[in-house]
Amino acid sequence: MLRSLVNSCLRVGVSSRALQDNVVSHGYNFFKPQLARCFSTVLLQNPNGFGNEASSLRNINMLDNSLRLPVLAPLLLQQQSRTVTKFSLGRGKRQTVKSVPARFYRLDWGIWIRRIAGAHKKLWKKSMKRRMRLERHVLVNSTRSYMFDKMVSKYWRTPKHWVDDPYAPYHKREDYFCTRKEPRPLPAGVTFPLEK
Amino acid sequence: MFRKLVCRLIRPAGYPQAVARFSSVQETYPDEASKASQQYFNTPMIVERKLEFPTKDGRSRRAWVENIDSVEERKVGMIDLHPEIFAVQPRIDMIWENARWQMNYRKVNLVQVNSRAEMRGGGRKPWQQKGLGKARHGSIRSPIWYNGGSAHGPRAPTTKFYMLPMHTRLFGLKSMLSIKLAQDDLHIVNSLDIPTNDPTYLLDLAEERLWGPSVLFIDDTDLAPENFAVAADSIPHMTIMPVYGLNVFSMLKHDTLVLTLAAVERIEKQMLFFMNRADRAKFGRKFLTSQV
Amino acid sequence: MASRGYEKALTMLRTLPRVGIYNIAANPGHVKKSKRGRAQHGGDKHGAGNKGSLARQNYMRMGYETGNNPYYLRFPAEPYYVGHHLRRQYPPLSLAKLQLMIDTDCLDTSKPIDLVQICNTGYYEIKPQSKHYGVQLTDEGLDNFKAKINIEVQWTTEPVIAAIEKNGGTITTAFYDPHSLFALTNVKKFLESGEPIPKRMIPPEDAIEYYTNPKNRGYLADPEKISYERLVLAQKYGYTLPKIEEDPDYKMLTERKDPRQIFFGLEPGWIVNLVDRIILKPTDPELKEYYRT
Repeated sequence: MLRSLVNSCLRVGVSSRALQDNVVSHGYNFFKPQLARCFSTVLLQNPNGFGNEASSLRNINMLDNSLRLPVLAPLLLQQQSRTVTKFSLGRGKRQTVKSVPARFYRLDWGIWIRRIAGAHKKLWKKSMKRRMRLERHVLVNSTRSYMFDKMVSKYWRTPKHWVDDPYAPYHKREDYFCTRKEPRPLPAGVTFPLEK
Repeated sequence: MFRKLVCRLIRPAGYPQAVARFSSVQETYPDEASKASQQYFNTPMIVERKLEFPTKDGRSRRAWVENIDSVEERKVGMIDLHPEIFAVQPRIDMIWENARWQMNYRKVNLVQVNSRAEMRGGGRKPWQQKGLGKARHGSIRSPIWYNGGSAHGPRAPTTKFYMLPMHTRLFGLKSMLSIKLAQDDLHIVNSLDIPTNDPTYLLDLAEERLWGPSVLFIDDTDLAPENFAVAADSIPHMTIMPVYGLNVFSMLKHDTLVLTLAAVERIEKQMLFFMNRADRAKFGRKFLTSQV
Repeated sequence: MASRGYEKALTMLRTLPRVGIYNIAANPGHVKKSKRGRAQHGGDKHGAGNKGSLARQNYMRMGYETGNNPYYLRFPAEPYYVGHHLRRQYPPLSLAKLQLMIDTDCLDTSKPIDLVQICNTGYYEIKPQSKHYGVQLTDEGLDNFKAKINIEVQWTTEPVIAAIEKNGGTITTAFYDPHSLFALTNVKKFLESGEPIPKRMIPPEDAIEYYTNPKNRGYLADPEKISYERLVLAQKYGYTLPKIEEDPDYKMLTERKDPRQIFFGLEPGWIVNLVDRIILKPTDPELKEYYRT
């Protein structure tokens, strides 16, 4: 992998015909990106290649979302102050009540969602159907949502553009005509400008 | 208005009278203008002015270019004006906003009224709390007392400063320029070089051409030709400004607006740039004096 | 053509009196009479009613329900926001919007498109201080995407890659650390600061896999494997892969940045002097070595 890269760096312009023929005969589309300036030795430094590094680090995933209570327990065991501080002593800033983001998730259109109480408890005595019902996340009332918005700072109310966010489809409500924000896409075959 | 009508009727038959000050689709203007020129005067003609950034549908406004070196009006040419500046929907409310902003943003109120702490006296409790059958009071200068201090009075200095958003200011300028052109109060001259420095020259000129008593001259630079500067200086109702001084309030106040060709170029270029800036997002945000 | 609104308005003005300071007004309802806080209307109890905690400004803390278990404590904790302070954000840019930018001449397709070009259109913004790590190209408007471009984004998905390559273009995913992003998103401000151009950092552990994967057209991936993947994707989505080496824009389409490079045409370590219009390059071998590695 690296050798070809080094070759591409050192080569000026067009690749050798022999190599091209070889690749073409395999049916590959010969596409060699010309690095604008190949001055760094980043790719040369790691002879095993970056791919191998990644495989060894695959087990250490810092953003493993399967971790649950063990991560949060310390937060809940701390002595909590649940008043909303409107002007902090140090910086005069508004402070969040941490209990709210610990339990609820805010969708970009203003509503918060939560788990159902008892979803983790005594599951052995609950029927399968009941367990499935308890697994679902539920919307919070609009009055309570408004209250939560007041209990958290601006950061929690700004949209988060995380990739692979399981709640990504729920931040928009394009299905209902009352809540649409984006203009509908044009029908197939129709393009701008619409009229001459 | 009536004088204008009368003068129009008296004009000779051959005079190109039917020329409207603006038109949306006119193909024959250059010929008419050149015909007029050849008929009456043998001067070089400014037949067209190619818009640097024309609109997609190619529409433009046309206006006469006049001379200023004689009292009598002489048409020196005809130029194209950008429709997005000189033919926009006139927004009277935007004009009002601009005028109100211009009148208020500079205001500083220096009035201060004393509070109960600043009033002379009033430190002592006037009478004992209980026993007299009188109302309980702590000070003779409390706000509920006659001659007492003011609780929420004006506290100097207070400013009325605020910044109007960039696009509102642009809209005001565009609307005003369009209105001036539409109402025949916009005149374009080739330059401001006049033969004498006599103020009566300018007064006669305005009288002859039916320019309103108050005239606002806009030039490209802030250095005016000497003759003009001396002549206009003694006339209080004739003002000269550079392009960066063009503002809605002045255009409302002055009846006639006279632009030089160079000023027209400058105005168009500058306004189109501001109307189409890529970094317009930062101008949409609230104006903070701490981050000017 | 039918008479437009502005034509009608301007024609009407020709017959109306001259617009002056004396006959302009605000839109009806714009100027509101301020209600003074005095007497019966607007004043007296100032909306707080009679007695009670509200009138006496003695409020209970928000969420408190007079002693019972309050709503915001009743439910079990859920790791919705676990690691939120570490997670990278990529504000989305749809293919529809990209096409619109190209159609309205905001983007120049004859040159490689970068985060700088996208931010310069004015229709897209990145806030590096809010943990935004770049642009994410989404598949909205994928069917109507017709442009041939060389684009470099920070995150994208397979259908988007297919849409771009189908039209004969190229796409690369590249990582920029926050310091580089500050430079990229406000180039003029950065260059005026007089700081030497920093070298771009390699991605963190959880991102390396993405950027070394040829399927994602990562900038650290093997170019030959990328060629192979281009063919694979064409077969998967059922289009003939355009022969890029026969394209007259081949040179432009294959233009790539070095892994340590931030700006096209500029290397890390250089200082750009905008006033004197010169570039200062480091001469010290130690510095040179630092910026090269």
